[in-house]
Amino acid sequence: MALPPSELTANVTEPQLGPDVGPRGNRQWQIFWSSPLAWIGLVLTAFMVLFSFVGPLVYHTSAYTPHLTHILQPPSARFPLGTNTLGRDELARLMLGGQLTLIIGFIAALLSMVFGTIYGLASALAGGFTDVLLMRIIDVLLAIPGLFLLLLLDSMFTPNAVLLTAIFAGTAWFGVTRLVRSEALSVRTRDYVEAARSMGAGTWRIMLRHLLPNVMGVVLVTTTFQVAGAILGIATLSFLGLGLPPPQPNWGAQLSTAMQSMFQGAWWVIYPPGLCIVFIELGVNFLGDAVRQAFDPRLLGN
Amino acid sequence: MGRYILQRFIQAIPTVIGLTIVSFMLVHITPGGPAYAMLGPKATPARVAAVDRSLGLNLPLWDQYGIWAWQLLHLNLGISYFYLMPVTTLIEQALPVTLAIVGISYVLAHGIAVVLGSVQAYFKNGWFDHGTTAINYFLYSMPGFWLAILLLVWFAVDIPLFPTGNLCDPNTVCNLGTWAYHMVLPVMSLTIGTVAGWARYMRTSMTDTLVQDYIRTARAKGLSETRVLFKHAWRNSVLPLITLLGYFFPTIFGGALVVEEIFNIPGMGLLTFNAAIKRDYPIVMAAVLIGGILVVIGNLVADLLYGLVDPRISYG
Repeated sequence: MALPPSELTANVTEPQLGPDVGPRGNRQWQIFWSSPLAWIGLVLTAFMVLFSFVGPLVYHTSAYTPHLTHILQPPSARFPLGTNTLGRDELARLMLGGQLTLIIGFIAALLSMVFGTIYGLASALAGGFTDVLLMRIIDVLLAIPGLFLLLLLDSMFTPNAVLLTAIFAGTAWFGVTRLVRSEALSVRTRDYVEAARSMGAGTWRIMLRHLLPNVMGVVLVTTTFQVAGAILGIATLSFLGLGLPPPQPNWGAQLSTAMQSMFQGAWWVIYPPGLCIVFIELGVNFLGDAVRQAFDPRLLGN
Repeated sequence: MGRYILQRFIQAIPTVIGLTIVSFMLVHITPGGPAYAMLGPKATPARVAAVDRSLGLNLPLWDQYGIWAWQLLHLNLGISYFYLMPVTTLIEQALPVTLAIVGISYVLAHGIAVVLGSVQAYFKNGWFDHGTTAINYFLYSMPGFWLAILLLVWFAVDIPLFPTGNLCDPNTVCNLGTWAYHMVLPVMSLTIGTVAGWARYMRTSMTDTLVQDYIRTARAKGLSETRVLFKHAWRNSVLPLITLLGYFFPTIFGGALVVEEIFNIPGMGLLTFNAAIKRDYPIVMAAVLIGGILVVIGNLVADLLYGLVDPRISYG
């Protein structure tokens, strides 16, 4: 029996009109982009990225040249943010310091996301004794205060950018793993996974095609917050003197130098590096909250 | 309840054993031994070998772990390579200081966050709520060490109200008063950052509670608003914060390290930091182990408290 053309088209187009239908991911990105938090976060993050990477292209003063006749000078036309105790230009050092901080922060968070997700999925899929053992290891690693762990690993090597990235990634993935595993466990028992298994899908196929898309929300949320964590961690380690060796600038290390001139009222070395850290942290935290609103299944419906 | 406590206790044992293995491995599989740190530029392979022999570092790893773990069972944490004192003595001096800073900050932060979050939730979307949320976002994104530096610059240098560091002045008598006076800025640094994180949770939790049916019932019965808030709503909304107690413990411990370093306070953080740099293995292993055990205990206590406060949870 042939249907009139009008009814046919109605049947085809109707599902797309309903707000709840359509690819799940699209709807979540819609929620994300409609959140003011996302936009503020994006603007702040973009601003800090531009400041660090495009800034040095526009502002040509060297971050390394010590101007020995201009030690700890307040902001002036020549040095817009003043100079530090070695007579180095603060603004140029802020820009250069931002580059490595951002690169290390983002790559470390990505690496820990990949590793944490694989570990979590593997643990959930393996089940039984393997799962218990793998999660016990995570329990132990989570119990050690993170900064202690960073401090230990970092103090035993001579830090360089690659090593710092590895250390941050290596100490950040435990949290992701826990969340991914519990999320995957709840998906694993659903009917369609059982169906896929009974149709002969292998472990890898189930992991990649069925579990991974379902845990992506949780992974995205934690990864965003991990970027914030890693950036804060780099700043903290550098402040403690365990970051990249001088003269390589870093916001944390700049604050540690600033403490030496605390009594001289040198506000220009104390406020700008701290504000740089706050801006990027605020930006990433805002983004994280927006991503959580859009993707965290537990918040859906609120 | 007693059975549950015992059960949780037994579950914690493998974690603690794991902690001993991790803290041992962390120090021993990484390159650069304490001999190099002790000998400095004078290190020759022969001298390094001699130092390693005297410290027992030439034995197979498994034997070294066995010796260390056996001594650990007797509460002997070894002798510090640099202070040449028993690690137990050093920790006995340092741990109470850190526990005091962390403990006081914890209690203060909890109290302030509960009040702040409740008021925010009660006047939800008002100017107080939005203002506090904005400030909290800012404080939450602020690195702990920068906050500590700012407090130091403002209240110890620019306006010399408080001392810039240490636990008491070398030329005055140390008593509880001077101690508390020296603790103000470090505790403030640690508290402010923590409040910013917790008030958010409290706000969410209080918001969820205030729309519950039993709150409406309480209001309908004609109970005063203060009674509704403090007798009915408050108790339930504090619950999620208790779980957070355990969760935030490692973070606060890390924070204490930075604060101790800035204010030069002889606590566990400073001890660990200096030991890590000098590769003072016995101290480092002990610090990681004790930090981990405290976190395990923190989680355990949070779990048990949860059961005490929430009658819906019974541990059979």
